[in-house]
Formats: sequence, C-alpha cells, structure tokens
Amino acid sequence: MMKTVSFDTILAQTKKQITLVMGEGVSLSYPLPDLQAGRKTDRFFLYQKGLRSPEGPRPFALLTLDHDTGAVLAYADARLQDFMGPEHQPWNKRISYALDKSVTVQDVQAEQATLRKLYPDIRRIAFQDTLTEQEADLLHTFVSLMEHAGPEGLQPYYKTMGENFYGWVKEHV
Amino acid sequence: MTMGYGMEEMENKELLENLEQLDANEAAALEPALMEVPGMGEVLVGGDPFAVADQLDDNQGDNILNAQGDCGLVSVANLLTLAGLDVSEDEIVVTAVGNGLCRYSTELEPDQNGGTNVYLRQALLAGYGINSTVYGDDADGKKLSLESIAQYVEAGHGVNLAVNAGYAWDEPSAIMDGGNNHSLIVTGTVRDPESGELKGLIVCDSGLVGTESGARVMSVSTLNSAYTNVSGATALITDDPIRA
Repeated sequence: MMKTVSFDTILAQTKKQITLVMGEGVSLSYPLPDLQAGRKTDRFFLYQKGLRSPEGPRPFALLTLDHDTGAVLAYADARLQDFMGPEHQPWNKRISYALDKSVTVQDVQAEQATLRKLYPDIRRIAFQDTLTEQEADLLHTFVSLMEHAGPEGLQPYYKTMGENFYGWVKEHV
Repeated sequence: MTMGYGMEEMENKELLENLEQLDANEAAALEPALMEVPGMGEVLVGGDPFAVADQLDDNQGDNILNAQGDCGLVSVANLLTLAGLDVSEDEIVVTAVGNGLCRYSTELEPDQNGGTNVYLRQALLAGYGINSTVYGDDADGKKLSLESIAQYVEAGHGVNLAVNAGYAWDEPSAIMDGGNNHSLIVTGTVRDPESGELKGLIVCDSGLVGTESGARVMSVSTLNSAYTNVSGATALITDDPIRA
C-alpha cells in the first residue's frame, strides 16, 4: 500500500526534481486539483522567463501528480501537445509576466504564503459531493485569490489547467 | 650551468624573500578594512570585494551561444577567475554546453538557455580542478548560516549562493514561484567594527544586466529573504581557499 505524503513534501520534492532536471530558472505555477477517471491529482504548469524581462515564453509544460504520493502521472510538453488549445497558438508566443506597479515584494510573499496555506485543505475537499459551510467559505476565498494570483498573462493558463476544478466550483459555490 | 653553491644560495634566499612578501601581501588583501559603505556607515569590509570587482563578469547573457539564463555559469567563471584561472563567459558556456552541464537547446528561447543547478556548477568547478561542497540541498535542509558563509569568504574560499532574485533585488516580478532561481558569488563581508556582528555580504551579481553589480552590498535582512528563508536555496563552497 502506497504511503500518503503531505502536500508540503510533494511540493518540495517536485521543485527539487524540476531543479535537478531543468535547472534553477524553471518555475512551478500554483497547483490546482483535478479529477481524472475518478482519480484525484494535483496539476502544475511549468514556465521560465528572463528574470528582468516583463515578458517571456509561455508556459511550456503541464505536470500531473498523484494526489496521495506525488508520483508523476503525466508530463505534457506544451510544444507537442499544447494544453492551451489551438486558439492560443503559436507555441512560441510570448506573454506578459508584468505585475501591477503597485504590487510589492511583501504583497507577492503574502499571496504565496496564503495560497500555500489554503491549498492542502482545498485539494482535500475538491470534488466532494457536498461541502460544509466552512468548506464552502474556504473554497470561495481560494477561488477569489486565484482570480488575481500572479501575472495577468498566466490567468488563461490557470483557467485551462483547472477546467474540471472550476467547473466543480461553479456547481458548489 | 652551475653558478656555484654560493650564488645559488643567494638567489634562493632572494626568491624566498620575494615569495614570503607575496604571501604577506595576498594575506593582507583578505584582511578586513575599515571603510564607509553607503547605507551602512563605517564598517569593516572583509574579502577585498571592491578590488576584485573589476576582474569579474557582472553582466550575464552576452556569450557566443546567446544563452541568457547563464547566471550559474557566470558564477562559476567568476570563481575560476578568483582562483587565478581567468575563464571567460564564452569559454564556460561552450564548455558547459559541450559537456551537458547546463540546459541548452536550439528549440528553447535565449532566456531559457544556460540554466544550471548546484550539482552542475560543482561538476564544472571540478572539471577545472576545484573541489567543492554543496550545503542546504538535503532533506534536513542543512543550510549554511550567513555567519558560516562569511567566515568561508574571509578565509578565501570561493562561495556561490543560489538565491531568489526577486527578494535579492526587491523586484516582485522576479520572485516567480518563490524558490531559488538565481546564482551569484560572494566576494566580501560587512561587519560592525565594534562588535564584529555580520551586517551583510558583498556579492558579484551578473543578473542586474546594465547595472554595475560587481560588488553589490546585500544586508542580512535581504539575505534572509533571498537565501535563508528560500526553500531549496543552496551554498556551494570550495573545499580549499582559492584566494591567497
């Protein structure tokens, strides 16, 4: 029987593996839960840009991890199997990674800390048939934060990656 | 042709005196100096970072393979330069690409090419005959403290840090996912002249292209945000001193 691993451990191990295989410049998106063939997973997209450039290459891969163990279930190279669909072609299109001028380092730090704190509960309750009032509030908070999380240029990627999740959210919140 | 024992003895004595003077001068170069540092007042600066800044590359990405994400490679080149090997950015990038020691593909964008991790940098240094140790990448997170890092710098070791650029530069858009995404080297230390308390480190940062950053002062507070509190941030320290 596979041991269930905490999400913090899954995240740390995934980031470490990405760094070992691809180098330190590759970033992981915020995760979103997914349900595929009755199996819960966590999904991320990978992206990389020049650190001082306001724009850069679009996310280049979609990573799907097993919910319980963090094992890699799927890695889709967006150049070969673009998870964004043909309307967002070409694959080498550049997008904006700019943040609003009013956003500070402390703002980003707080956003990341909050979303990381919320996510373990969100992935636990995701795709449940029913939610308690407290769980529904938690979900509402998470979805509201995700609407404005990170650069605007990445929002379409979150919407596409989280299609199943947001569809379920719409029914419950 | 033998010049006679007496002549050889005199020549050897002169040579030895010259060597001893050279050692003393090089050792003095790493002795701390009292100086005024903007934003910190009068402090003790160790490692002579301002003197070596001109020898180092503080602008990454201008190489013949147009690999612009090569901060780690430039860090290695700078450590080799400090060790007296004077390796250019072009040479280190070509060497790394040729030996599979960095991320590179003609299918990638320039800003995605040239990336490394701490183990690739360690392997590159070893290829040039410099052994080093990785700190902070294990499950226990045995990260080197800033004080330990400072002591290594002051003892003449080469020091490479993997940090988060956004926190290092106070630039929100460079935080990305908050993990270590940039590499630089530490060339100096800043201490309180009375108490000896560490107030900061001085780094050569190749990522601030177009800005003079061969000797950039980073406060302890900034370093804690950019390195100490960043999951996955590592230190790569040469096993032996490379300066003096």
